[in-house]
Amino acid sequence: MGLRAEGGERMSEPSFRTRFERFVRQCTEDYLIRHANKGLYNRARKDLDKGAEVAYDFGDGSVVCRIDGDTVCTLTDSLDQWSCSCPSPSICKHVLMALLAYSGSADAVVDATEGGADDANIAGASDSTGVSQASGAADMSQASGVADVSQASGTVDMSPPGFGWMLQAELQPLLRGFTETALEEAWFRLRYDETLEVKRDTLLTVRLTGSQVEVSFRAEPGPLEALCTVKGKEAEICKAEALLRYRRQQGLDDTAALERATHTVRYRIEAVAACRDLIGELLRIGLARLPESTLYRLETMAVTARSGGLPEVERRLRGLRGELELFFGRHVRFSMPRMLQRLSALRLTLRQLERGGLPPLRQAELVGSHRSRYYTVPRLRLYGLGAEPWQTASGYRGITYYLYCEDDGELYTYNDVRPTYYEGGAYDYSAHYTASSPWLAGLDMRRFARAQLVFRDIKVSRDRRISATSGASLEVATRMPVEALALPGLRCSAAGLSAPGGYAPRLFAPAPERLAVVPLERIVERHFDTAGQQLHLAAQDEAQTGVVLSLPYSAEWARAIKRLEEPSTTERLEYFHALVRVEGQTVRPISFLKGAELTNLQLDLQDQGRR
Amino acid sequence: MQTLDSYLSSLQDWCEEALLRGLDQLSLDELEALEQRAGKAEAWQLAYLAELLRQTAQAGRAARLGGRLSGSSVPNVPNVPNAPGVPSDQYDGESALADAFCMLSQYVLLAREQGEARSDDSEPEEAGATE
Repeated sequence: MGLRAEGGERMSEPSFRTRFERFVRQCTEDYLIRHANKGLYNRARKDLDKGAEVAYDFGDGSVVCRIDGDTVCTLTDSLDQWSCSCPSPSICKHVLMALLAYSGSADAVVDATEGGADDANIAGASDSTGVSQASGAADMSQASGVADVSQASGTVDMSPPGFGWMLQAELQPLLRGFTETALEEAWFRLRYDETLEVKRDTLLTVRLTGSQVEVSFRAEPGPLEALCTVKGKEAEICKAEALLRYRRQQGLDDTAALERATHTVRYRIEAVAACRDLIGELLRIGLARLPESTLYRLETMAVTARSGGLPEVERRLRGLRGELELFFGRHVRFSMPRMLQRLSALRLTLRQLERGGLPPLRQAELVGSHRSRYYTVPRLRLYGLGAEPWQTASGYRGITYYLYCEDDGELYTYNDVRPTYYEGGAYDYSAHYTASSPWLAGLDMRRFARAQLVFRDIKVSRDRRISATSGASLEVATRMPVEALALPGLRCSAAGLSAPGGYAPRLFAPAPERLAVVPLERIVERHFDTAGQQLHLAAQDEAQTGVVLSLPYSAEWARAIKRLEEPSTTERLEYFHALVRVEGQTVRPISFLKGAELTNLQLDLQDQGRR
Repeated sequence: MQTLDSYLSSLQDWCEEALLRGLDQLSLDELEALEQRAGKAEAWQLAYLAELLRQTAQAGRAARLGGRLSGSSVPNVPNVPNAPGVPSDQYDGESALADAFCMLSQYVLLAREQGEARSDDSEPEEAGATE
């Protein structure tokens, strides 16, 4: 079908001149106007009509064009690369004139010096610096023989041109040439709705109305050759995005092909075998007889897993080490079922990785990633719902900020995390909570947690975590009362909390968290359960349905727990919302919201107690 | 429902005890008893659990008596297509027992998960988890 195949029969690589001629033939009026603008195009035409002359000097990979002897521009076989002696930073009329004059000239096609090397050119006599003038007499499609007949019929002569290649069933060949990063980013953007405007002439133009980007595909196969109104790396992403959105609009489902294209994982099988053997040894020996040196072996193995390209295994090994540390320390928090869960899940993960044969997405889930990839979202409106401090057995401490997005009705998070498994690793919750936000100087994280925000060009990961990297701009908007938010999928009645809905067992990856915003009338009872070491707040909603909010005690948050236990703290709180995490039958409160006010139970109350 | 839960709970207890003592310490009598529990699982129409119990018992016996497991050793998870297996010379009785034990543990834990409190890495824990 393509040029390349037919050209390949005759020669492995067509000469630059042949490629340039093909390119000139593809430069239809629509194409040039789309790339530049109509005014520039008309000016170039007018100058040529007035008798401007262009001389061409072909090199190995470019052609130097002299326009009326003074302006010099260098062209290649694509409009991505060109230069001109005029001061214009963007495409200028000289480039257009050089292209238009060439396509209008019969003489320029013929090149005696090239004739022997490339039989795509018809034999003839012309100087490589031959002067051409726009005459419009040449039939370019004859110039390069058989190979170009099909191409010419696909571009200039065919009306309307066929863009069937964009909808071919197999996506993989179309994605060739795109980088994995660009494809991932484009695929991520498909999550957000976008209105498409499709226009057909000699080009098929897809306009992404939200991001105001236009991508014009040509009739010849090759999405990377498309024209795009943005330049650089972003152009590649937009081309992929436009192609994928267009295919989706036409009813094609590319999910499987995209998963394959974007989830290639590489890991060392030796690392898998080494980890599997260690876990096998732990199981054989049994916890009761394990020496304490096992902790060091697990740490070493975590490093092995990391260097073997298995970040998720590394994380699990560290989690196992933390749990085993609790066991050796006879800590009250040690849990045998959790130990069994960690060990068996890790062993089965390793077994599955050793056997292979999983779908790419599942495999990528097992292997994990060192760092989540983040993608730029043009605009994101977020509403702070609460913040929660946490610490894991695998040696991390941090604060998670929960933010609701009105645009897609989803919950976004921002994690401020530090590993504490390094020697001297520490994390002061209060210091981090009162520190300035990474996006806006003067806005501390305490205010960030209770603000209504508008981010621009913020980077977001696949699981809706927002990134702290600079480059994003942040504005604080007037905060709406929580009661005015729709919160679809998040707002849940007290009765709905205990409903088992949405249970889906996850074999390998940790189950997703279930968060809910519960409208409550008041707190009716507070008591501290000394046996279970948790504070229970018995609340009820307007339907008088009761719900018990349980907050586990820890010395670090003793002050906040004490304040919550005092009736004076919550007795006047009526008709409020609670952001809670549902863990099986237990409901863990994170924050209370009323109107535009918000209280983070641990972080704020601990702070108040200190003041 | 109560009795199914208590049955699964007893299996979980068995798994936890085996984890504490070590799979090396499992006696042939215990493995025999485990195999007998498979009958109960079948009574509950839990065919896959019964299969897992039998496989664990067989793998345990093979490990104790020094034999190798015939066939594909540990049953595959339903709905997961057969993948190229680990070469049989690497897949000795001990490995097969560990895998079978882990499959059984995961089954029991998942079966009990619905009504139980979840435990995962995201759960905040008291200081003492590190150092």
